[in-house]
Amino acid sequence: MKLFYKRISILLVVALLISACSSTDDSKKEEFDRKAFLNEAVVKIILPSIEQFYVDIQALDGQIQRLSESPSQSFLETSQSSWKASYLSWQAVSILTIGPASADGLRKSLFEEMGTFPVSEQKIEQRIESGTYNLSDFDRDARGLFTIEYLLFANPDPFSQKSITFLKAVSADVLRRIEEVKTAWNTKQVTDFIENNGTGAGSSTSEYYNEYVKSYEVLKNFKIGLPLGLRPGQTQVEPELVEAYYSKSMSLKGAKYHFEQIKTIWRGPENGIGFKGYLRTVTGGVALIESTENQFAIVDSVFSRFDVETELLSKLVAENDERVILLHTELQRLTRFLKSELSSLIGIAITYSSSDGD
Amino acid sequence: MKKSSILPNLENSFLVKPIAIEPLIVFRILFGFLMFFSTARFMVLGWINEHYIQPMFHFRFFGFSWLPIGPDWFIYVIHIIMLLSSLGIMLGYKYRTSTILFFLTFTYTELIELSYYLNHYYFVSIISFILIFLPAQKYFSLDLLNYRVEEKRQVEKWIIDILKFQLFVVYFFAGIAKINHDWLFEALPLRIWLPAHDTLPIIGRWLMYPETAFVFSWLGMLFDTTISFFLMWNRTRLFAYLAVVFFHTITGLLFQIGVFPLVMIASTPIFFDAKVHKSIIEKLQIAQVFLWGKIEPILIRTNWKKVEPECEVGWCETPYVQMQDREPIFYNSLPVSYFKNIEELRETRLRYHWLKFLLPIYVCFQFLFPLRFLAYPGNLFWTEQGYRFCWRVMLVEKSGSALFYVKDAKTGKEGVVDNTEFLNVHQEKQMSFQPDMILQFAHFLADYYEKKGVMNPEVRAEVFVTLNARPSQLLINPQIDLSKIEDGWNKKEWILPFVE
Repeated sequence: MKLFYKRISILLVVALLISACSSTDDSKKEEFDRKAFLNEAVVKIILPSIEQFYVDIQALDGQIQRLSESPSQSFLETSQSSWKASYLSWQAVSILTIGPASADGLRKSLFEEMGTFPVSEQKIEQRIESGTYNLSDFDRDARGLFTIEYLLFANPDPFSQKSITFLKAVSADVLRRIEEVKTAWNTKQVTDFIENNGTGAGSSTSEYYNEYVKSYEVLKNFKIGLPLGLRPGQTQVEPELVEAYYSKSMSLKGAKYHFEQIKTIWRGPENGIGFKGYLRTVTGGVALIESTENQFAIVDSVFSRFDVETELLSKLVAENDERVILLHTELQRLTRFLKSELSSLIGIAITYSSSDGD
Repeated sequence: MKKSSILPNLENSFLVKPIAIEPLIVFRILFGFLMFFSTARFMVLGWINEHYIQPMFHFRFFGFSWLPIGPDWFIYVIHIIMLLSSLGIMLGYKYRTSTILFFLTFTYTELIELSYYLNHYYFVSIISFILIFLPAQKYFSLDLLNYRVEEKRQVEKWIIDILKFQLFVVYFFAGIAKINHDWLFEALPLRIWLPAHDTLPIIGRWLMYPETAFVFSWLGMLFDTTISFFLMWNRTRLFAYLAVVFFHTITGLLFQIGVFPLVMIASTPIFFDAKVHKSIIEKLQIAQVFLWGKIEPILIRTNWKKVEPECEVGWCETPYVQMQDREPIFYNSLPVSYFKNIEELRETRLRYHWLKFLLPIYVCFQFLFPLRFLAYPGNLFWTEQGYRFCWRVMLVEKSGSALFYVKDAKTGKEGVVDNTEFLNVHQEKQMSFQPDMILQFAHFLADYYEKKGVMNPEVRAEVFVTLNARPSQLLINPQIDLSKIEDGWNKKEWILPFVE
């Protein structure tokens, strides 16, 4: 028995010696403070974006109120510019619909409840006409931010009483939903989120990461790919499928803003921690940081080839503009860095399913 | 009857030498209980729905795609049968039927969805298959209660040994698989996995150091390769079993590995001496006496006798006493009277001849099948050809991103598939780094889009895979039309070689 212990300890010493001299490339590990990472995520990313969006939606609702009191072209225009501001701040909110903004029972996530696009013009017209509707039903394509967009930008009769009544109702519904989420993110929620600092399925890091990747896929697949007709079975481009179709000039700007947020979350705001800081502490992280940053730069350079203020994504898509196709391709190339490599290196569990044990 | 003239040396044969039945009985009870627990857990977690009903596409095992997937109610019925038959195994109730039903239902649910394949599910299938042929209901079972079977206190040695052998195979192959460069000299993938668990109490703060990963890697390799020998050896057995409990508890706490630690902790007691199992069964008998009132038949059958309380008033503490064994039990030698009659002797001899033929085949299969990877060139961890059913557990951290392109051969228009339209998160994750699953999904896509009106769809896939924290690289040839390729035992030429 003694001999046995002796042998075991010799082997352990060998193991430690090997550990001392093996792969020196990124062996200087530092402890990763996952609580600080989560704290940054909620305090510097999630809450400020909700706050900004809330302010914008309040302003929008105020404008719509004024419009309803005295319907006029000038009030319509102020409402429109208010909507455009809300649309941009929505990009940041829509990426991280976790915590109180996540799905709960029949209520879907804030992203689905408020950001469904394209909307159904037919359903909206029907609701305006009938004046009876339930803003919590399954017809998410006839409420939310993009229904307001339709009503403000594309409604053939924007000043009719029926239309304005519906507009007010949808706007109030959007305001109520974001207000709900804002109040639900109270001190306890924030603390719980930060304290749930494991890496298993259901941990804050895992959920935060999942939503992040999902949102990146929304940008690539739904905001760019689908309108370009890049799904199998699509026979042609479908420009009317772009996000923010009715307000015309916003789609490209929104996509760019969305991508800026993707980068900010990855890097951490104001040179903070972010996934980048996380990667610095793990095996193979340095190489991944480099390849991700490179691809970010490439996508940036594609975006810089557009004039996002004036160019219409729907028009470019219809013309099969090569820059849009290139944008999709380069976003596609980002997938493996954000999706498989990032989750693999930081070792987070994405599902509850069991894996092989030893 | 002169045994020597009829059956020379049968009693000394390492195959049919009679030994005490108790280890087998305890194994049956623990295995049945664990399968009941595991099936119930599976149902409570809602996994029937998640694994079998929700997904619109199921990955199938090569050679088993003919197995039909029944309607929803059928899958539920299968699991209820599985649940009841596991109880049947535990209690020894209609034992033969229970083991057959359990083996069939369990294996069926494994075979209809490849993405949830786990080595320990394969282990459960093997064990339940073996149990069909073992007389584990012949003692301390409900079948005895109804005199359905005859009680037996001894079994042939191979019956216990084959279970030990199976456990040896699991540990040993898991161990030698760890003897590779990444595991021993880079402490990968443990260096990726351990730091993620730094929130664990007590040991958590040590997990971020690479040194910890090295110690875990080496200890894990040593444990797996040697533990079965220490379990077999009398002098180290108790210590070895404690090590088993400790090791599996740690891995169970660290990793999301389901019931696997329990399966091993409950199976390895088979290595213990029959005396230990005898005392366990005695304790269970006492518990049984307190649980039921009406158990006289089984008591008689198991050498217990009810004694009428002598005291007339009040509660009598021990109404049951153990009687002397009616006949002496031989653990090591065979009494002449062991065989009741010439018939039984003949049967034994016949069985012996079959065993001499079948057991070596089984043993060879268990040894050679896990080594089939040697027939394939290339990096096993990369190509995964000959990876499954080989007890290769927790060896690599692999993850991939798979983009599928479907091209209309007529118009030349190519589209990108959104995998989540067809697969759940787990399926997509598993498919993204396993070539045969990529191929299956490509075939599915070709069929699906052909029905949707795409003419002669060509499917190609751009799959980037990261292996043990290395930057990801292309797994398969992204130009090749996967819809034209069939799966098989041959080397998959369309897998690109791994570049270090």
